[in-house]
Amino acid sequence: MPVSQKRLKAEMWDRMQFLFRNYYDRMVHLKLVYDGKLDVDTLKQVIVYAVERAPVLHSSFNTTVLEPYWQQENYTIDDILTVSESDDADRDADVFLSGTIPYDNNVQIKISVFEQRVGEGVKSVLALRVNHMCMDGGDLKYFIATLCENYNRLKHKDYDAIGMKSGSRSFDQVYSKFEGEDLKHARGLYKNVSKSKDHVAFPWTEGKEEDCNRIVKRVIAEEDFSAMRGVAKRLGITVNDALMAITFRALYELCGLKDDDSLTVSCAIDLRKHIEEGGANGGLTNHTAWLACRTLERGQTMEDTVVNVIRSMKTFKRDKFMGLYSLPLLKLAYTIFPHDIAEFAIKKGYDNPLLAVSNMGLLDDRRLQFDGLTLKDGFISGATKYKPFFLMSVTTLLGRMTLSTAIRGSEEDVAVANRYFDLIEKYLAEFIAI
Amino acid sequence: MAELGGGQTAPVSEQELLQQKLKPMYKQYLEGAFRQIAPTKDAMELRKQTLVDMLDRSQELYIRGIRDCDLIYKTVIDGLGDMESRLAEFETRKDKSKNLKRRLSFDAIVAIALTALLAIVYVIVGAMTGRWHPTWLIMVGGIFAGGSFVMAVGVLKLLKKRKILPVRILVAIIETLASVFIFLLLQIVFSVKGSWMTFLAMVALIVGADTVISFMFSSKARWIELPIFAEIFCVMLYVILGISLSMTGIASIWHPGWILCLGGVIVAMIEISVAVAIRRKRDGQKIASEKETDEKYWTSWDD
Repeated sequence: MPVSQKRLKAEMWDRMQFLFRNYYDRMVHLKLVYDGKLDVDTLKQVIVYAVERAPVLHSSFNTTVLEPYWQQENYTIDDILTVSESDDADRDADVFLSGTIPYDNNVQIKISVFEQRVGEGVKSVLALRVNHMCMDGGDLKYFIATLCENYNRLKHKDYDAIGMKSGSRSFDQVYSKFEGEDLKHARGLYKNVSKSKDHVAFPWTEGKEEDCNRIVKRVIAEEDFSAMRGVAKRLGITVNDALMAITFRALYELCGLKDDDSLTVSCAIDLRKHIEEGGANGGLTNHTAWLACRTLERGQTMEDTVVNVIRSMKTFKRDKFMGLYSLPLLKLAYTIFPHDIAEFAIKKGYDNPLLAVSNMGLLDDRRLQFDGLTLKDGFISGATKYKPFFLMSVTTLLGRMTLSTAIRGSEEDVAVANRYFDLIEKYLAEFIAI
Repeated sequence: MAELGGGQTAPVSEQELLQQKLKPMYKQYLEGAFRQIAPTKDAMELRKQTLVDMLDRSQELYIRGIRDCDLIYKTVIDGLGDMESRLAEFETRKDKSKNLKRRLSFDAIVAIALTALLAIVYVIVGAMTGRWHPTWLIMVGGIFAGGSFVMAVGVLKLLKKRKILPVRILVAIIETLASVFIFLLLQIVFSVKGSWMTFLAMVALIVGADTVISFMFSSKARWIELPIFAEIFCVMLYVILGISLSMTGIASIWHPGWILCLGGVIVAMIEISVAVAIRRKRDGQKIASEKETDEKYWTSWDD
C-alpha cells in the first residue's frame, strides 16, 4: 500500500488539541543553543528515522463529519529540516518559532538550524516547532533527547542503540496502573472539571490587526533558581509549589485584584505518572491535563500565599485519580457523536483556562548534547495563545529556569508580559527571603 | 543527611526533620485520644486523616515562621479544639448513619417480602382456582404496593429533611401506580365502563396532593397552585360527571354544567379578594399606628 494511503486513528487528545485551535496556534516550541557546528547529514538521517518511527509526524489531519483521521503523507527531509547561516541566529530562530504548521500539512514538525559565526567558532541554534496534536511538552522532551542520543550513536555507528519509542497513542494508557475497583472508578470519572469559579484574565491589550505570534521569555539566573530550590526544600514544598505561589502574588498585583479576591491558576499535570513505565511503551502523544489551583485570598505575606497554594495543591496531589477527571466524558462525547457535533458539545462545556502554568521541569543537559557541540541554553515553550488566554511555560536547563509565554499580540503585549516577569522576579526575591 | 537503602545519601530539610520529630508525638497523642471511641475502621481512617491534617498544619506553621518544635506541637494540638467532644460527635454520627442504613435495609427487605408474599398468594390462588387471569393482578398489585411502600418510607424521611422536590416526585409516582392499579381492577375485574376515567381523576389527584405539599412546606407558589388545582379538579369533575351521566342516560349536564369549569377562576377571585382585604386591613393598622406616633410628638416627655 502506498504510504499516502495509510491512515492513522485520530486519538482523543489529537481531537481535543484540534478543538483548541480556537484558543491557541497548536504549536509547541523548542530552542536549543550550542557552541559548535552540527553535522547536518547525520542530523537529517536521525530526523528521518525519528519521523518514520512516529508516523503521525508525517501525516496530515483530515476532518470529516463523522470522524477525523491522520493520513500518512509522502515527504522529504527538506519539508522538515532547514539549515541556514545567519547574522543573528537567536533572532532568526525566534522568527522561525513564531510560525505555525497547518494541520493538513504533509509534515507536523519543522526544525531549523541557524548557524552564526562567532569569532573563530560557530554558534548553532536549533529551533523546532511541532503540532501539539502530535505530542505534548513531556514527549517533546523525550523526542529531542532521543534525537540527540541517536545523532551521537549514529556518529559512533552504534546502530543497535538507536531507537525511538513507538506504539499506542491512545489516551486510555493512563489507566494502565489501575485495576479492580480503582480502574472502574477511574473510568467513571465523568465530572467536568474545566469549569472555573474565577474569571480573572491576564491584562493583555485589546486585539489588533497587527498582532502576531511572539514569545516573551525571562531567564531566572542560576543563583536565584538555586536559592529558590533551597528555600522550597527547607519549607518541604516542591519547586512547582514555590513557583505557583510566586505566580499567584505576581498575578494578584498585575491583574489589580483585591487581597480578598479569589484567583484560579491552572497547572499542567503530566498524566504519564499513571502509565506503566511512564509511557515509555507508547507512542509520541499528549498526556497532559490541568488542575485548577485556587486561592480564596492573596494572603498578607508570601508565607501566607505559600500556605494557600499548597493547601490547594495538596487536595489534588493526594487524589490518586489526579488529572483523570473528565477523560471518560470526552471519550463518551467523541464516541457517541459525529465529530462536528462532538466538537460543538465539548466546546460548549469546556472552559479553557484563562491563566495557566505549564512546568515541564528539567531538560537534562547530559541528554541534549550533540557530539562535539556544547549546549549553552535552551527552553521549551507552549502554544501561542490567543487573547485573553495566558500560559507561562517553565523549563529548567543548566541550572537556569526559563519562563516564557507565547502570545499572538502586539509590542504592548510584550511590555505587559515583561511587566509580569518583573513581578515574578520581585516575588521570587521575596520568596528567597523567607 | 539521611541514609538511603543503597548507601546513597539524600539531604533532609529542616522542615522534614521537624516532621519526623513531630510525627511520633502526634501519633502518640492520637492513639491516646482515639481510645475513647470504639476501634472501628472508620475511626482508624479518621485518626489517619487527622494525622495528615496535623502534619499539614505543622508545615504551614513552619512556613509562617514558627521554628520551635514544641510550640508547633502545642499550636497544632490546641487547634484541634475539644477532641473529646469531636470524637464523641463522630461516634454518634456514625451510629446514626448505621441506624439509617439498617432501617433502609429493613424497609427494602419488607418491600421485597411483601412482593414475594403476594407472588406466592398469586401462585396459590391461581393453582387452586385454575384462574391465572385476572389473578395476575395480585402480582402486579404486590409489586406496585412494594414499590409504593418503599417510596412512602422515603417520603416520610424526606419530609423530615424538608426536601420538597423529591417528595413531590415520589408522591406523584405513588399516585400514578395506585391509579394504574385501580384502573386495572375496574377494567379487568369489574369491567366497569369508562374505567379509563381513573386517569382523569389521577391528574386532579396528583395536582391536589402537590398543592397540599406546597402548603405543608409554605412554598411561595402555593397560592398560584391552589386555583390551578381548583380549575383542574373542576374541569375533570365536569368531564367525568358529563361522560358518566351521558353514558348511563341519567342526564346530560354538559349545559349548564360547564359553569363548573369556572371553579378555578372563582377560587382565584376569592384569593385576590382576600388578599386585597388583608392588605387594606394592614394599611388601616399602619395609618392608625402612624397617627398614634404623631400624637406622641405633641404629648410625649422625656421625664
